[in-house]
Amino acid sequence: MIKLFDVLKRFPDGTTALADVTFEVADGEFLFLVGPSGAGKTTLLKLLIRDFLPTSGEINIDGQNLSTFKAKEIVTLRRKIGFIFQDLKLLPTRNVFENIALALEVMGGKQAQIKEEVISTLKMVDLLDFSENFPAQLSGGELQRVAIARSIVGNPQYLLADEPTGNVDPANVWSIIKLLNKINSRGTTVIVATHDTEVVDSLKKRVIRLSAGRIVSDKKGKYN
Amino acid sequence: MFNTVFKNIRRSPYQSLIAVSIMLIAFFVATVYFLSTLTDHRLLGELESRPQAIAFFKDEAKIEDVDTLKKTISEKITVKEMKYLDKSMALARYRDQNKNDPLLLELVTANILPSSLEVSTINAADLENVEKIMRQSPVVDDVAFPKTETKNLVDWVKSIRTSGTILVSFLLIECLLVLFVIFALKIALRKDEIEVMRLVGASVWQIRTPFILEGMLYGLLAGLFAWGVSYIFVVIYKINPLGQIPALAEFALPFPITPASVLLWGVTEIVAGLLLGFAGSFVSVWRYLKD
Repeated sequence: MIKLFDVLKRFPDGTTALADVTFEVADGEFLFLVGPSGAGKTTLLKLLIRDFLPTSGEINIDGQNLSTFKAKEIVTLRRKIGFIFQDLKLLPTRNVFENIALALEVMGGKQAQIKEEVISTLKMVDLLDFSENFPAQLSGGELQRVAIARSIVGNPQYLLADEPTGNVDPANVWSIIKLLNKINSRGTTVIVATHDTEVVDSLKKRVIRLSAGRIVSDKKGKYN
Repeated sequence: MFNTVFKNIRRSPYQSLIAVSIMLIAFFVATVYFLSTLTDHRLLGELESRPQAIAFFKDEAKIEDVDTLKKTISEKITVKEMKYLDKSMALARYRDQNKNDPLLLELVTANILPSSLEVSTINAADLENVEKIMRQSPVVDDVAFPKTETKNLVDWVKSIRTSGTILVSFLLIECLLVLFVIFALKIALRKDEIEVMRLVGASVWQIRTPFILEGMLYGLLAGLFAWGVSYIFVVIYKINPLGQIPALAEFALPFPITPASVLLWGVTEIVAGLLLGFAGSFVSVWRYLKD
């Protein structure tokens, strides 16, 4: 369960990225965060992985206040959250297999177990034949699927996706959405930040709409 | 973890080579300096253990006069050893020193050799005062004191020690700085990877440890190579030990070359290497990879 109460995030330059943000996300829920660029979607997701702290307000995940976390607790938190970054953050010097395995390596998994899990995830995202390829050798859609594979390989409790369909062609958009839906059906709580109206409208899930850092609507169904 | 270390070395082999080379040079110089310092120490000890100021008495000097002089000296100076040689003892020593030259022995009797008092001090600098006291005594005919030679030798050894200490300190600081800069570069090169690792849940020590192990590995290699190179150096020195200076040759190595001593020497080099590698890499990760 994720709970945000009266969250305010103001950056040192005075920009207010989020204000008066209060909402809850139940376990296993699929949630869209929508809004134009600069609405605060990415900031909100980064607050959830404790990339930075809120200026005020409270963020609770599984009953624990993120602001009180020490370094060790932040590590534990991040291991139960998969994150698909807007810029993907794939490492160019590692091949597909190694990029995905990174998430398991930091958890201290054994090599055999890591191999088994990575292969299973590669099958799920339909990239098994590309395991030896490097990011530079892949298309936009394939790169996006590698990023998704890395975020779900450890079976995280939560999956946060920042514009997962932003850099892919329309044909790949639906395969990615199908994949996110499939992950959600396994019980993973999924939060997707997007401004893709078509995607949001088609899935008919809960939608929180942000504008200038404030929640302007929270309802099930459509983008608008 | 070790896979990551070797992967990091493979990715930037020239940085690794520079780090190991610089540490190897520093360790080699430090080893040679350390061995020479031990040798200097023994040389100085040997010099200081020998009588430094010798008072030669007039023929009329009585044993009471000698005792008075001894008492005066020991009251004012911290004496290491005082040795009185009467005429017969002086003759015995003369005979021993010239036993291979019968001609010299024939012409000398105890009467023509003066009795003497040989004094050595704990601190070589006190010998000047001993000389003054000896010269003030009415029964002393002459005083032998190799003042300039001793002072020059002591100054020479001291300056070698000082300049050696400065050089080795400089080299060790240089090693630390080189390691610091190399690891700062490595961290900068892997900035993206480190950021991703953090975001997917790596602890700060999971990120830091491979760098520290890498630094220790450099130290280990440098220590091993320095051990090998300095051992070869010492063996060559032993075979041809500055042949023209026998006094130095005698002290070529301050300990015997046995398997145990060589092993201890190697272990010392390796442990020092590990510590230096640890320090250099640790300072860098501490500075650039904060919580």
